[in-house]
Parts: sequence; C-alpha cells; structure tokens
Amino acid sequence: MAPHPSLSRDLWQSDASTGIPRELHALREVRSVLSLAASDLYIFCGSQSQDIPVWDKQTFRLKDSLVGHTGAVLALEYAEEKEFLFSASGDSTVRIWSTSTLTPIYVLSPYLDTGAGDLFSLAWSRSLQTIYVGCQNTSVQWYDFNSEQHPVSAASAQSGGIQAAPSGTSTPRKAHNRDISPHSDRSAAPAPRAFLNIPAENVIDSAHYGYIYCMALLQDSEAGVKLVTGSGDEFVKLHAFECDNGAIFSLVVKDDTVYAGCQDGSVKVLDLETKTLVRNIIVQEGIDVLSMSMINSDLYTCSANGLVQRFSASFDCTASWHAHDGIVLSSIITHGNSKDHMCLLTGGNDDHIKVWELTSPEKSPASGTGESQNDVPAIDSHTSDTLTYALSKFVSIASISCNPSRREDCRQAAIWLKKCLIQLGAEASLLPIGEGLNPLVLGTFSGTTLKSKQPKPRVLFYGHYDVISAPPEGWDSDPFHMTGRNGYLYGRGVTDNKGPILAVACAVAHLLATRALGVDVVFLIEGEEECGSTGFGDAVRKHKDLIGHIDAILVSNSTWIAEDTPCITYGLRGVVHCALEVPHTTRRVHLLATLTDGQHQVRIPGFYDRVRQQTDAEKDLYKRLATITGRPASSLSSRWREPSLTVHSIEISGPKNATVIPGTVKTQVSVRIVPDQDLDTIAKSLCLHLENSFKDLKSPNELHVDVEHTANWWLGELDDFWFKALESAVQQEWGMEPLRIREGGSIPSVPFLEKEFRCHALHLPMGQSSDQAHLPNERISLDNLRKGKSVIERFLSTVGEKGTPSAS
Amino acid sequence: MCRFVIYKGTSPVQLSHLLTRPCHSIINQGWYDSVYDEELGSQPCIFTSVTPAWNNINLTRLAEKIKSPLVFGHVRATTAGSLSLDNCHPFVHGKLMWMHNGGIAHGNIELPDVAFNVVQGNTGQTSQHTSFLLILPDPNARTFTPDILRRAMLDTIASLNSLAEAAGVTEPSLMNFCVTDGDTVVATRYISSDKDEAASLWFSSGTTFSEDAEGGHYKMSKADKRENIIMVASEPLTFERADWMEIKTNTLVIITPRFNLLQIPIVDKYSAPGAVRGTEFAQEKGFLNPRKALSSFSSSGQSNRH
Repeated sequence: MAPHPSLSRDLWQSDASTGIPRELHALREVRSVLSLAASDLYIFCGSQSQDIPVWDKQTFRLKDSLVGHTGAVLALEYAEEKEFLFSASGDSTVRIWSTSTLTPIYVLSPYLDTGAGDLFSLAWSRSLQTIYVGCQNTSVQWYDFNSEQHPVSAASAQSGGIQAAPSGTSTPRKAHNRDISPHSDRSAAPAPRAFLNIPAENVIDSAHYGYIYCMALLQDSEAGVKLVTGSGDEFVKLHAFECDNGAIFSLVVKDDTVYAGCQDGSVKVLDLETKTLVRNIIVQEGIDVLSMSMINSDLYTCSANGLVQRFSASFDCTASWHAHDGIVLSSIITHGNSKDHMCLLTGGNDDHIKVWELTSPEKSPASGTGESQNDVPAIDSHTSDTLTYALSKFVSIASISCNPSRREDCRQAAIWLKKCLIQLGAEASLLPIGEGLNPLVLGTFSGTTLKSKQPKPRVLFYGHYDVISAPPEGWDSDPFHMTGRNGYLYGRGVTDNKGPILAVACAVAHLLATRALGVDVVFLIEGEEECGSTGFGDAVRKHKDLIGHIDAILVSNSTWIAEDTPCITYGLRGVVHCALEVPHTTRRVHLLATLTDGQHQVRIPGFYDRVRQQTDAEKDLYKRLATITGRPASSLSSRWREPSLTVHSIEISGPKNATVIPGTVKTQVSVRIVPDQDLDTIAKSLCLHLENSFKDLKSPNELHVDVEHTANWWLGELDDFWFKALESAVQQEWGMEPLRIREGGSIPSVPFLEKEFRCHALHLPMGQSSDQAHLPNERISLDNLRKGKSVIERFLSTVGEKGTPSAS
Repeated sequence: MCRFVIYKGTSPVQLSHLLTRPCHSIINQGWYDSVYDEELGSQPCIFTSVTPAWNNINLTRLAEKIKSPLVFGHVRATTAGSLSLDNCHPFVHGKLMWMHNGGIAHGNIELPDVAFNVVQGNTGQTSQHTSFLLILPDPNARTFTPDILRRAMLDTIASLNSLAEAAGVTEPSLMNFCVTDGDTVVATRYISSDKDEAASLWFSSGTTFSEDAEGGHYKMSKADKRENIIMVASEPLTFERADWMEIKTNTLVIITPRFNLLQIPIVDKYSAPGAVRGTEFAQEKGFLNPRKALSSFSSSGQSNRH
C-alpha cells in the first residue's frame, strides 16, 4: 500500500496547529449557497433562489432580503468605500445594491446580454472604480464607474424607449423589460435608480474557451491593476498559465502569488513575477476545490465533499474539518461581530451558512479589499521538514527492482515520485520502458524566464527510485520505516538513492519558490538501476524529444571516501560482466586459471595496453587521500584507476563432492575497466582469450561465453565551468575544499548520458562512507542531507546567474 | 421542431425526459449504456424510424424505460436523398456516434465514399461521416482524447471546404456537426461564409433538468458551481430564456469528459469577428431558430408560470 502522495504534512492534530476553528453560528438558507459577501454590519448570501438574504452580523438574525434577480445568484462582491454590493446572476444581469439602505441602485447588463449567459464571477477594483464580470459566453466585461457614461434613468427604460448610448459608444439597445420589471408578486420591491449597459469596447470576447468561473485582482501600484481569471478550460489567465488538472473553480491572490483551486482536488500556486508554477498542493485527490479564502498566510480550501482545510505558508495542512453535509460552494473571511476577531464564512449545498471563528490571526488582517501589506510566505524554515517528511514516505515504498513480487511497489514508487515532483512545481510524467520493466520518471522544473531571450541552461539530474533488497536480518529497525537516531536517518534507500533525489528536488523547489531558479532542471529517475539499468538507454533515446536539450548532467549516487570531508566524484570504472558455461563436462577444466598469472595480472592479451599512465598530480592526490582515509595510496589507485578481474561464482551441477565430476559448470566473471581501455575491445578480447585458452586445453567439451552486461568507464572534466561551480558550492557550504575522488564501481548510465546528450556529467556524493548502502542499517546523516540540498541550491544559483556557459 | 439534441450528464437521464415528453420531441436517437457491460461493449445503441415521433407508440414506451448518460437525438427534416432507415442519423462507427444538421453545397463534387461499408447511404450526409472517419488518425481506437476529436472535426471541415473550392462551388455550406466517443462531445456551428449566420445551435448547462410545469415544460436549475448536465441543441428545448445560450457562428464546442463546456472560435478565412452576419441564408434553408422566435416562446413560458 503506497503512502498518500501529499507532501503537505498533517499538522492539524499536532502541537504546531492552532486548532480547528470553532463553529460560532449556522445560518439556514433555502437553497444551495453559491456565493457570500459581508460588510461591517451584514452577511449577504447568493443562492440558487433569486433573492439575496441579509443577516445582521451582531445578532445573526435575518434582516432583509434583496429582491430583483430572476435567476440564481452566482457571485457577490462588496465595495466597501462605495457601500456597494454587486450581485451577478444566472439571469444575465449584475445588480448593485446599497449596503447601508439595502435598496437597489443600479441594474447592469452585459454587452449582448442574452448572449453573455450566466454571470459567474465578479471583481471590484477600488483604484479603478471598475467592476469586472466573468461570463458563461467566455467573455470578460467591465464597467467603469468613473466614466462619463450617463446611466439611463429607470423611468425612461421602463417606458420602453431606446436607451441613450453612453458617450455615444455603445450600440443602442432595447431595455429588457422582462428582466427588469418587477413581477406581480414583487411589486413592493423598490425599483433601481438606473440601468447601466456595458459598452462594446469593454468586452474581451473569448477571454477563455470555458466558462469564467472565478476572478481576482492584483493590486500593483506600479503597473496598475491586473486581472486574473480562472476557467473551465483549465487555464488561469494573465500570463496564460496552463493548469492541466481540470477546471479552475476558485482563485485567491496574495501579492504576486495566485492560488488556483482546481477540479482534480489540487491548488496550484503560481508566481506571477517569475511566471512559474511554484507548488501544487494536493488538497484531496480527485475532490474539486470549489472555493478558497486567505488571511495572512493561511489558505482555507473548501472542497466538494464538505471538508474545509487550512494550509500554512509552508503548504502544510494545519486544520481540516467537516464543515458541511454536502458540497462547500462558497467562502469569505470577514470581521466577526466584534472587530477583534476574524471569521470564516462557508456556504454549502446543505442550505447552510456556517460562521467559524478564526482564533489565531497572527496580525490584524488587511481591510477587506485585498490591498494588503502581506508578509512573504516563510517557505524557508520548512523546506527541510518537507524533505524528511517526503523521504519517510518515499522510503516506505519497498521498491525492490530485482524482486518480481515487488513490481507493484516499484510502480507505486514511480507514481509517488511523479506526484511529489508535481507538487514541488515540476511537470512530471511516467515514461514506459518496456514490458515488465519499471517506468522512468521524467520531471521538468522550468526556471524563471530570463529577460534577455538567452536560452536557460538545462541540467539533467539522473537518479534511481529502486532499491536493493533488505532482508530484516541485521537491521536495528524496519528497513522500510524511516527512523531517526543520533543525527542519522535509517532505512533502505535513504542514501542510495532516494535521499539524494529528494534533496535535489527540494533544493530546486526552494529556488523556484524564491524566484531564484535560473536553470531548467530535468529529473530523469529510473527504476531498474539495481538490476543493471535494463532498457534505460533505449527509453532515453526514444524520449529524447521530451527530455530536450541538456547542458550538464548531475548525479548523486555514491558516498564520500571518509566521514568528515566532503567529496566530489570524478571517475568511475567500467565493467564487462561475462557468464561462462561448460555443459556435459567429461573432464575437469582449468580454464579460469588461464585468466590471471601468479602476480595477479590479467593475462588477456593487450589488456593493459591502453591503461592511462598515472600523472604526478594524481600520485600526489592519492597520497593526500591516503592520509585522510588511513588506507595505503596503492589500494586507492588500484581500486579506482587500475583494471581488475573477478571470478564471482562457480556453480556446478550434481552432488558437489570431489569424487564426482560435475555435468555442467557455470561461472560468472567480471572485468573492471578504466580509462582509456575500450569497452568493446576488452569485451571481445576477453571472449577470444577464453575461447582460445579452452581450445588449448584440448577439451572435448563445449564452452558458452555470454557477455551479460557492460558499462563504460567515466572520467569527469575537472577544468570545466560546471565542475568548478559545483566545487565552489561545496566549499562555500561546508567551509572546506572538497576532495576529488573516484569510485571503483560502475554506473552505466553516467557515460551513456554524457555520450547521448554530448555534455559533461558531475557526480556529487552526499552521504558518508559509513552509510552502508546495499547493507543492513543503511543510513544518511541528516546534516549531510540538508547540506547536500544547500550545495545543490548554491550550485544551481551560480550556473543560473552565469547563463549558458557556451564559452567555457 | 427540434432537429437535434445532445445530452451529457453525470447521471443517466431517462430518454423520455429528453425525447418524448418535452414539447419538442424528436425521433431518431443514439445512446450509450449507463452501466458498462463487457458483453454489450462500448458502442452506442441506435433507434431510427421514418414515422413521426408522436405516432410511434413503441418509441414512447421504450423512452420511459431506458436511461443513458449520453444521448444524441435527431430529426431528419431534409428531403434530399431517399427516405429510408439507412439514411437516418445518428451514424455509428465503433464507439463513435455522429450526426449533423445543415446542408453541404454540392455542385459537382465527388465526395469520398470509401467507408460505404461502414455507413450505408446515398446522401451527402453519409459522405460527411465518411470524410470525418477518414480524417481521424485511427477511427477504431479504443479511446479518443478531446484534442484528437477536435482536430479531426476541424480537418473534416477544412477538407470539405477545399473540396467545394476545388469544384468551384460558391454557395455556402452549413456544417453543424456533432461527434462523440461516449466520453467527449465535439460539435460545431459553422458556415463556409463570412457574411451569413450558420444553422442555429444552442447549449444549456446546470445541475438538474426537470419538468417545471405540466405539459412538458422543462427547466434547467443550478445548485452548484459545476455542471452536471450539458445539453446542445439546434433550438432551445425548454422555455426558460436564461437556460439557453446561443453558440456563436463558426465556433466549435467541446463537452469534456469532466463536464467543462469549451467554446472555441474556428479561425479560418470565414471567421469574421465582430461582423454582423445575415440570417437570410440559413433561414431560407430552414435551419435558423433566431432569438426573436425564442423570445416569443419565452414570454409565453413565463405567463404560464405566473
């Protein structure tokens, strides 16, 4: 069972939460509550019925009813300084009421009123004195109360005459008596003072393709007012953000951040300054978010299953409660009956309005207009916690790729990781790599668009979400339940490779949220690494268009050489894995003895010909490392830069005793190769040598040689811009120069990706040498994980600022 | 008389509410099962008849006992071609269901007839169906995305235009087409002219569709921000003015699987944003139900209620 994908911690049951708001009062309405507004004195409710009930805020008693609409009231907006209440309806009119006298003032008709359809959303700009209307016919329209337009008096409209065109700009139209004239049973209702028409030039046709469900204004003193709209066409518009998760039902704006409540149950957090999606909060998967309200940095979300939830600036869920029996359709935040506390009002299709007392406004809220002195969300302090919270979830999925019975866990890990990357602000998808193989996770974080049209550098981060098996023997705690002890996190995969993946992802997300991501970062995370990366190469080639151009490759898939000094890995050996089989043995064979000589030198002809000579600088490096690690320099150099041959196993059939000659002999041999040995040449000469040696034995038997898999060696480029940027990032973070180290092992994907994308790879190990990757009690130091994240942030900041290092 | 209607709802509708009980009733129809059944498959069922709806007692009986989440209804009112069951809309190919309202200006065009084994018929209507299928990347696919259906529809219109152009036809063609795969509905209100209105097309959306007054007076109501029911019809099916919106000429509408109705302008050489189009052509052909006619319906509807 995979963990829930949400990265928002459930803090609402913990001490960090300020508790679930107390229900102060419930108001009964007759039909579904579609919209809410509040003035200092009153609460107004738009519903499926046509009238707008008005409640007294002090007494919660029904005070009056605003009568006039002939369709459901879909949106309400309060203009405090004018004491105007705007109501938008399915009857295709906006009515404007006085909130002091509770009488109608104007009736506003959209341009082509019958063609505008239902009016879904409203926004009032105080500075422009303009009301904006979002319509069913996909248009956005507005009416400017400053303009010279002279409203037509009620008398002349009632007389059925042609209306005077305001400023001579709009097309003369007939007033719609049917809508406007009170019905017989409503004749007591006062008539509005005047009828207003939106002129043709105040219309944007096809502002969206879908209904315009919601809108919000950004008050910007320099650039004026910006209007943000959300629609059934899955777009939030201003800069045309695509939110391909379904219709946008609700919007709130804070400073330059737009929160868009979506059809699939998520909230997109969009930064308008950098035009990027910085976060995708999973509220409840698959349950539409229909309304949202925000105060300070607390976001309240209202969902189609009756739940209201509160999210903090760090996107953690700090409250969650069942507010309505049914769908929560509307919400506002307003002063309570005394001005010292704030209330959240929610309306549902259970015909109720609920008043919730908000107990913990950290500071007095901005006066209800949306123009506020809001603080920047404190994302920083919490991202580390998101990192460990996410890692505990990731570790809990036993994605053991070499065990076929764990196939489903691997798939769940891929899905979880995809959702994780999406929540952190990436676009992510799964790429199939073939029947019976675990999919690739591709996630792309798009950096801030540079003002100059210079292309952003693109960094590919390669990692793997699969892990090696973890039999419980030898573990002090459950390998798939991450446990923290003495500064270390324990669990299968914490260091290899789930911890580093999430550290890099959180680093990128942090840069994104703080508008500091100047590069695109493409995550390419595979699920077959522990099984030899089967299918990886073909899948990458196949999906190269989706991955796009790449300038540098980043890997974090090994550990430091010791405990206390940070390292950068710049070399890996290659490998040729070979299976030998001699069926129908009639005599003992001594074939393996022909592979090495008495000095443990490999006897394959030409084997050492192309091994690169050690330079003096290299020798000095090994000496220095030897003092740090306490291992002889020769052991380092032979493990990192000399080729070797290993016989892994000899398997014989039959009763395994010396008196019986076995029927079949199978053996596994591997050769580690180093610069500048050629992989294909070595593989061929290994096979040839075995076959020739076998012939020399003049054995009547057969020999089967099968090269099972190979990986090329890799050597980093120490003098390039990217390596230096990474080195200085480590230096700055840890306050010491990193050691340049190599690895005796192989990662086939690193040289492959370098070749495929024609750029250099960088390898930043995060954990320490005692991390026990592949062993019981695998762990990673919390400090290393967090500093690793910071190193990545520093590195990406540097390469983002410098732009594409094409000159280097 | 209603020429066609499309219903798509989150819950299945009893066919009679749509087809036989409202004042405007229609006769030919196709619908999808409300519960998927492997044995029955995912293709729609089609009911056609050459007799008028009000004469068809079997249709009335059946419509009372069948529920469906997605229904196409059609009345064949043209006289072109022979009147036989084979020529009756809607047409089906696998999961796909198609119908249209309007008329293609023929001239001497030879329309493609490759899919005659799929759709039996000898009028222009089948040919449009044929060309539509031809333009789909894979007409036999198990699923289609809204985008694939949208593009296929636009390609079909474009190819009919170029066929007409190549044949020197100057008379505009009325191309109100509808297609669905059971999940997405794509419909067009289109005319190959920048001066005339297309055959009329309307839509309505809301949460419930029910009989508001005796005698088949139906009303759409709205109790949610979202839509549970979306209907597209060649003319309004209820008497409530605010229930129905006219789709602009040369617009493609999509009802997405998640119940969002999208209105996308069809941009080609016949799009004329802002221009006033004449209604004579479509009216002359008998395919226009203009607002004026509706207003009279509407006031009578209101007087009935008060």
